[in-house]
Amino acid sequence: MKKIVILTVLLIIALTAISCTKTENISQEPLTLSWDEIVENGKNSTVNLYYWGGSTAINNYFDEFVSDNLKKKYNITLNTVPVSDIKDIVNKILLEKQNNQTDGSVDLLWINGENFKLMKDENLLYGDLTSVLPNFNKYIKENPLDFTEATNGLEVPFGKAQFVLVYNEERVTEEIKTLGDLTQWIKNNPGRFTYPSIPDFTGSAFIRHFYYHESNGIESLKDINPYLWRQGETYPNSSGTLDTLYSQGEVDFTMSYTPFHQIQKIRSGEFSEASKTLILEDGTLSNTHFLTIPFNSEEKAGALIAINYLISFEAQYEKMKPSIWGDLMVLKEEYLSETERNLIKTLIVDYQLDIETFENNRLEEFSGDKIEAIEKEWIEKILE
Amino acid sequence: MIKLKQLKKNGSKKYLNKKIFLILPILIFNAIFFFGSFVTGIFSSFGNNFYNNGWFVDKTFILLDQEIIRNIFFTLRISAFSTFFSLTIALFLLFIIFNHPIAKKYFKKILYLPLLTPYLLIAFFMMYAFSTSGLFNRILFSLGIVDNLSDGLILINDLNGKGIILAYIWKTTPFILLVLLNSLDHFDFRLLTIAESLGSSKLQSFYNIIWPHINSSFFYSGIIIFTFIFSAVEIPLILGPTRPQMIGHWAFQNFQNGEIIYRSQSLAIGTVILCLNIIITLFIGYKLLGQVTYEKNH
Repeated sequence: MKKIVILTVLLIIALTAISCTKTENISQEPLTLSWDEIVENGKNSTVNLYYWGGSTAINNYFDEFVSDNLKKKYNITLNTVPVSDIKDIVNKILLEKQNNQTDGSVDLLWINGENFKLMKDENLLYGDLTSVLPNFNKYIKENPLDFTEATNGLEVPFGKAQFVLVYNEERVTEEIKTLGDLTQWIKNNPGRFTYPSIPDFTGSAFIRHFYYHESNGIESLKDINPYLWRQGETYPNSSGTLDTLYSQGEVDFTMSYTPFHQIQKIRSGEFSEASKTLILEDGTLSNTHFLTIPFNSEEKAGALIAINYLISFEAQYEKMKPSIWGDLMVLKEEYLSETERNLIKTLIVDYQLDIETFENNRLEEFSGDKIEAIEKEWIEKILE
Repeated sequence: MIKLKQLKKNGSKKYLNKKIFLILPILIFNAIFFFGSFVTGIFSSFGNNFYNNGWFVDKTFILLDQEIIRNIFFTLRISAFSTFFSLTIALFLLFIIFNHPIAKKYFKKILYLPLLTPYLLIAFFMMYAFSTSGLFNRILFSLGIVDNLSDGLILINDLNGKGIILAYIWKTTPFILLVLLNSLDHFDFRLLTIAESLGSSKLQSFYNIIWPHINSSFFYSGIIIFTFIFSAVEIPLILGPTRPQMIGHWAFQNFQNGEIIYRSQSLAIGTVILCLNIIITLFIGYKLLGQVTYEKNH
């Protein structure tokens, strides 16, 4: 009995020791400095980048291209930390704030949407970053919205995603231009179409198009339900499962929020060569993703340098190549130089789809609250 | 291990006290990871400054929610069916093993095979074998039995959870069988011969001689399997329908995909599942094992 008591006491001490952390004061605030001074301060530092690491292409881009160039140009060591869900990192910063911890381990964070809103509402962000970044003021100039939320420079645009449908050319011979055409096709070809169920991100985005284009979104969804794969009785639980169904030929469509999904999947051998990308002419949803610095980063100057590099033409162009990542550029075409514009034009050949097709058919995302309401309605009206 | 055996033999108080150190690693492991996460989970489910909607707000919501009631019934049904079928099949196999000397010799080794296969592997195998365009339907199709792949046998993601049950039967039957065989390790097989020479039928001697040896292990393994399936996540995630969901899957999905502010709610659901699990285990354990001990004593 005595031993058990001693053991318990030891265990409690050990656990307390683990949970205790030291606190330190932060040095000079980089946002009050000029860009040259920031570069002077941030050189030779080590920056911890936390990002969603679910894609090899993205991991390679950060680990090889970005890492090497930051080292070469500024002697900054980029320590990349791929995570499966950035929400966990936001949670971690939340807890750090709660404990008044000023020496946070996260210097640079790749986020958007709800995670940004939460960080903004809870004052977890460093400050107006865009005003000091030379590349932002050269190429972008305006702070975009993030799922209807004003960003105020708290995060810096890094890339753009757009919703696309992928179809099998051999099976889908009709021309599909609008959402109306698509619903007609679904009704004519029962069992050959489906979408991932809520809470899958891609499935949720697909559903939102009905709310954009139809006067009564949920009714239209109910309408096509019996014509879906397995009579709409069950849905694939993720976009990955839908991709599998598509590659096995069970359905003729799949979908993605990554514009060059089809090119990448053909290259990896998962999709047949007959796969084509489709952007509805009445518009598909697009969103911007961002980079930001948490309030308690210890290497804010270094993180600012890294962000500025990531929104340089060089880094954005590399990121845009379908063979590298295939993420759309955030730099505005009007601010690019002639040579830069020509470089992009040569890239378009690779894409099979004109960049302008994306630009011209772009819809802004709904707000987080609205998305939640839509998802709730879908679960109530379609699933129950 | 040798030491432990010696300790058992000696049995003196001095040695017995040292026994606790032998199980210390697993105790510490459990204390930190199991008990620790249990306590953290409960505390987080109360909510804090950031998670405004915590346990107190949501426990009423959880209890009143139609969805969870449907999910709980679905979970109970799947767990009960899987356990029932696994136990029946295991018992049937045991009966066969005892009446076929060759089977007795090799069966135990074969049993380890499905035990070593991870659950995920089985789930994916089921998916590729029994989905609409799975192996099974392709064979039916090429033999001309069905005209359309979707007319074939579909056991995956169906509303009754057939795929889930099948996967669990596959995985848990060998487990039960192994437990039963182990409890018969010191069984004297000559008893069966004697019974037979006295004119007892195979079924009679199985029921009267073997069954009393295995009944407690039989019910124990049943409870283990039932509670395990009750809170399972990965197989229902892959093989289950969109709705209804098994509650473990449901809580996991809420935690993983829901917004961060709802995490305390997911943890509250998790706590409810854990409590339900404990209650069910205690209830079944008390009911069944009470009865078994009773039979043994009388």
